[in-house]
Amino acid sequence: MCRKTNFENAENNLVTNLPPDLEKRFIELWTDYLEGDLEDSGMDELRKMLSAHEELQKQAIDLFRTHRLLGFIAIEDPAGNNQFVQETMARLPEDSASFTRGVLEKLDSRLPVSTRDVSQESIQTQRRTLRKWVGESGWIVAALLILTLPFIWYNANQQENLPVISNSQMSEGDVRFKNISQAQFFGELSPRSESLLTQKREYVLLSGLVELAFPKGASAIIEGPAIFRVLSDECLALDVGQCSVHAPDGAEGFRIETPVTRVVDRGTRFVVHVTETSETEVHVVEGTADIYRYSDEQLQEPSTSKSENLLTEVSDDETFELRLRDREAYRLNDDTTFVAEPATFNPLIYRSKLPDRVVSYSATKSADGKAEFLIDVTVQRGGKMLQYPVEKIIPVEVTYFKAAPGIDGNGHVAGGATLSNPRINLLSDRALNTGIINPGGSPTPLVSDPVLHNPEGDLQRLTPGLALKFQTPVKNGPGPDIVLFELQTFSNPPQGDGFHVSPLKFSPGRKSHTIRNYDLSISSPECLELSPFHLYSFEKNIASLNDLQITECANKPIRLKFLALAVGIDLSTLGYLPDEEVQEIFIQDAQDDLNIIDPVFVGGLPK
Amino acid sequence: MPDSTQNINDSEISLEDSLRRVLQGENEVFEVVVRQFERPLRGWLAVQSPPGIDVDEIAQQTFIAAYTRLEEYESGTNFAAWMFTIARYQLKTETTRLRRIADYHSRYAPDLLQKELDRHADEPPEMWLVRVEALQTCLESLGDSLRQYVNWRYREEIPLEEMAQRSNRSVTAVKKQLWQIRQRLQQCVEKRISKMQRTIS
Repeated sequence: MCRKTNFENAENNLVTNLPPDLEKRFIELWTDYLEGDLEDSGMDELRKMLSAHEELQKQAIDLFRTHRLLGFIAIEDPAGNNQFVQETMARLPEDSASFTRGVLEKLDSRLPVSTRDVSQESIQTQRRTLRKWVGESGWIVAALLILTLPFIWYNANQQENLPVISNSQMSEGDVRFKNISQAQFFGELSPRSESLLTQKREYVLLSGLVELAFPKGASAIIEGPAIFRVLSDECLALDVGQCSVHAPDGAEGFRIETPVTRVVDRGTRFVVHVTETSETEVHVVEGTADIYRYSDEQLQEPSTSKSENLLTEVSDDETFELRLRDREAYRLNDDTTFVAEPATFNPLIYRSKLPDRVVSYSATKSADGKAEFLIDVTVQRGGKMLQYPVEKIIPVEVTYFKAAPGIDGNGHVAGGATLSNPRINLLSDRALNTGIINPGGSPTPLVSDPVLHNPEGDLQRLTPGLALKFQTPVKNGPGPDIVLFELQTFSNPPQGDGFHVSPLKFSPGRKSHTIRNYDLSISSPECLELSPFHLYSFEKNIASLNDLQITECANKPIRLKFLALAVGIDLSTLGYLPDEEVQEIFIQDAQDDLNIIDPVFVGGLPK
Repeated sequence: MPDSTQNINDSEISLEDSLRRVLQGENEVFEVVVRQFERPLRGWLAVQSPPGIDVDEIAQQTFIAAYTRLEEYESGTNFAAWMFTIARYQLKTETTRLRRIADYHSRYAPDLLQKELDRHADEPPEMWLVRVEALQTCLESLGDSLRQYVNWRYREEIPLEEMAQRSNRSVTAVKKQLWQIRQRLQQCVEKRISKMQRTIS
């Protein structure tokens, strides 16, 4: 039994809506946990308590992190840091070949006791670890790590795709990321377009889309969440997720391996969908696809090695289990016996291309090598890649501004060391590190015209936000018609600050549109780091353009690392008809968190 | 405005130079990289790791992985982000491995924490430096008597019983004191971070 402690008074209370007795007990248990004093029964009680009350989970993790940080700060000292550096340097391989040899030696000698002893000694004597403040039972951790060290090496290197496998086994093939849209990968940055994939490496796509291009012309669009590997220049393994395949003439024989079946293209467009239980659905939109089943031996292998063992071409004498033709769909499973049953064909799930979006941009570099003035923007519109030099982009004029009530400590102007005049031009210029930032907003988007004037002079009734007028009207074309850039640092939402964009004049069919995910987010390699800038803050609330222009402001240089995020706005999403011209739009922060949109460049794309 | 990323980014130019030299075969120059990133990396791992993880081991594996995969890093892009990505993956791998060990859950109960830790996994590593600086400031504002408890617990690592003896209080009272200190520091850090975020956005 865990020892009962007596945390009695309200001084310890958490900020929860839970009964005081429950809070008190949680405090006792969690303190014992952090002190390493919690015994089995207490652990069970704590586990139940946490699973029943989500708010306690948050409290627990916050305190856990503070506990760990205190430990980190406490043991930090120059000598310890120096020792860590030296140990790390001593562990580096002389070159990658010797590293590979070293790892292979570790793999070969996983079991011999002598090897383990050396590892044990080196761990125990050489490293000043951070584990000592994990709890009273740190020695158990040490023992656990020592006993399992070889397996750590094995697992970490296998899963990390470090050079544990020789080059002949693991190499970059010629399969590349052709296009990427809002892709978030687990544990890694998004790749650049045109970068090569590493064969047999597991890619975990959490969200967004990627299009892979195979050397013989086949393409596969994978939608997150998905887990996939490229097995060869003609074979993709899809462990979970959905993939739309197009194999034109010359690419016949392209294969998708799923955990339960193999789909071989015979010149076609098809979709493969694999669920988390490995059930596979195949929908053939056009042409023919053959389904092969694995042998019983193959099915019993782990999915990774199974796929690798299936790299050989399908032999002529191998017969397919099922041939699917135009507009046919099948559901396949192989839990105990191979089951193939017809499914409802759905042509809509086939994706022939990635969504229209801002793909990349380029900018001039300042003396410090960081981005300053926009040069051009590349946008996919109607499926076509188009590059717009900044000279061709239609600039905007700020015609209205109202901040949220109160004083925004960060101000509303991003500019240079001296402030240009008029200030509102900072959003119209080509600089990506200057703009009119932190406009007001609303959690709900507008459904009628924003109130920009009030003859009675009641400023409270004016709509918070930012009105923009294009120098010449923007015509509603395919895909994005407007590009918006904002500055963002790493402590802000990585996907960009959410905002509503609305017509300035509503009419039947016109509506607001909310954007919460930018095309180029903070994890996109296409986003450029901005040259340093200054923020101008005001001592009073800024409720009009006049306030923005004439109110005295304080200048604060910003040295944090900021990137320019970008998103395209399609006028069709506001209810405009094709080719309809738009002169003005209204932007409001979505007020979905403490972060407010910081526009630095907005422009219309010529049709 | 706190300028926490400066530690990482100030010497970006010399960092790129160092990386280039490592790629050209001057392996010893990698020490520049290790020195520059060991503090943020170990600190970040400390707050992201569930109990039972050897933080320094993961940090060293990360450096080794970055070193052996350096050719994959695209010069001029964000090296810090690239390396922290490797660290995230190393940590995930180790966490997954530990979870499969039979008595791990019962011994350390990481399932109590894992959901919330995962929720924070995408927090930018730069934020950790902000957090540690905030905590240091909050610690300074604690007052000598309370800071003494922090030193005993985290620096000297003396047992609770000894802390109780030294302070002439019961073990229960010491535990309660530690709880209050953590709670107060936590609230102080959150306040500072929240103020900072309002300033930045």
